[in-house]
Amino acid sequence: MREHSSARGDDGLVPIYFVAPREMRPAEGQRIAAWLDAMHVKFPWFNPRATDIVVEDEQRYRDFAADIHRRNRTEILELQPWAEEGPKVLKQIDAAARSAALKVQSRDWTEDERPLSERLDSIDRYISHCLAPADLAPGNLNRSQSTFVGRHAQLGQLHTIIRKGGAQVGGRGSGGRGMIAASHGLGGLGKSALARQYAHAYAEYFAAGGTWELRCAGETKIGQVLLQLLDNPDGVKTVEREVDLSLELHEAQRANSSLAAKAVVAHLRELTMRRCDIVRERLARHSERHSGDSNFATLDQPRLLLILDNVDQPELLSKSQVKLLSAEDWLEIIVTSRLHPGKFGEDARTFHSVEVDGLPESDALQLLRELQPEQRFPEGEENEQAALEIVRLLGGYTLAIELVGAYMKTKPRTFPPTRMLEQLRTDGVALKVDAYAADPDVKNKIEDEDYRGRTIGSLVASSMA
Amino acid sequence: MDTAPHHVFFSYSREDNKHPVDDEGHGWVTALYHDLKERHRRYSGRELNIFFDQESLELGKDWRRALGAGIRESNLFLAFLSPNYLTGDNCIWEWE
Repeated sequence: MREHSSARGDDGLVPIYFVAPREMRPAEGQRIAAWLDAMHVKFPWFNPRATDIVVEDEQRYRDFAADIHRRNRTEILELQPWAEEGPKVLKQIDAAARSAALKVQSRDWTEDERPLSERLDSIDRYISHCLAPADLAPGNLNRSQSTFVGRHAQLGQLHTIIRKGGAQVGGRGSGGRGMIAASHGLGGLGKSALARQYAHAYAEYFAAGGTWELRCAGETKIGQVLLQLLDNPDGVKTVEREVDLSLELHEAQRANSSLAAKAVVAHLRELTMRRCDIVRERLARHSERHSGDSNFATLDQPRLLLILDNVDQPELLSKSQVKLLSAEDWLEIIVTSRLHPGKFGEDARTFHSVEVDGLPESDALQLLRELQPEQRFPEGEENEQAALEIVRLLGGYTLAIELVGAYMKTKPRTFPPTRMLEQLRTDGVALKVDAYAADPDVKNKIEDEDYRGRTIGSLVASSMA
Repeated sequence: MDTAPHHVFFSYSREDNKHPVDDEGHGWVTALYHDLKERHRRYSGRELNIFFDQESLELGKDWRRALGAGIRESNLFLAFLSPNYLTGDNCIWEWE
């Protein structure tokens, strides 16, 4: 087990999951009851009723029990019940694999210094992916988020919400409805980025209808929000030309946001159903290129994902507005908001919330590392330690880390982590956001979060408040 | 043998997997194996790769080396704790 943990790169407490047989043979039980009781004290979830266990070789058993206690005392491992924790961890592993695959896709092949055979393998996998359901999903999202790190638990939660669908709406089962909320109401923690990462990582589920992001700040009418899809065609980047979002609305529909909403939703539904056959046909044409991971069963239920980004008016999710969104299982919705889910009242009860907090320290450090030239800090233990201190100082506040990382990237020689740490500790307020927002990802985020013009000092101050 | 990295390594005693628990005559470890894979397929649309010696070991291979590789390459280690497990040499070897 020690070998297992080191091979996985874990250097802390190693969880070992366990299950126990449903049916134990009847029993001697007495001599192990004490051990079971002790286990129950140490692990309250351990079922002490299962005392009807026969142990033939008492000494071996005692050795084993002592071994578990010894290992736990030295904090090498931690026994955890599979039934509670195992499936959650599997979902996180699935999310991590999907996020890792996105990073592979965004690689710049021209700067790839690996051996030719490895590069060809990677390119082959990339082409296979392009022919898989995930890449056929149309939409208006940016193609990749190269610096997205972690959040695997939240990605798994979102997919559970989307896959299971929402509660009954108007007597019918609805599609999944999730709400990404900041645990402390702060912007810049990565709510929108999480929604987009979900859309990219699980895009195969939306191969038919696609993934569409709509800006909702200040909006109170769903109809007005949906009209963005029709009125801003230049902003819609579709993967395939056959995706046609053009829809002529009558005068009366334009004048009445409810009528407009109904017309657009009906149009999106028709688009989703029609494209399902198109996608199947394209996949069948290239069946030899698909990886074993691809499973076209995701097309059995055609889906479209709407991201309602930065909802700041509770009226937008009032009963009268929510009912304009089809209560059918083809339409999945993710809302991002700085407001606490409770602010939306009972009308939005069909939205299941996923909370976003600051990045855990290890993920924050990885994010800062990925923002550096060649995705590594300058050599030296002092730089590694300074980088760790920086993410601690920024409290896992995603936007602040991205801003600091982008600044360091523009001046790697003069601003290694040690210098950056010193600067942040002394006069961080002097650094202007605009001065180091050249990185497109960071620039987009600043615009999205309406943070243009603010200083990093105020961001850091907010995170430390 | 399946050479892809595994998500889960099943460590169990074959004695515990002898008695059928479903209509297909599977022991309970095998039944859990199929149930877990099916549930994950429904959740993710992808295959859950489980190292399960009945499926993952080939006859004639060095099984102990294959087991060792399976453990090292797996994300999770799932132990089926039972009296048979606690007293079986091979199970204890996997645990170690």
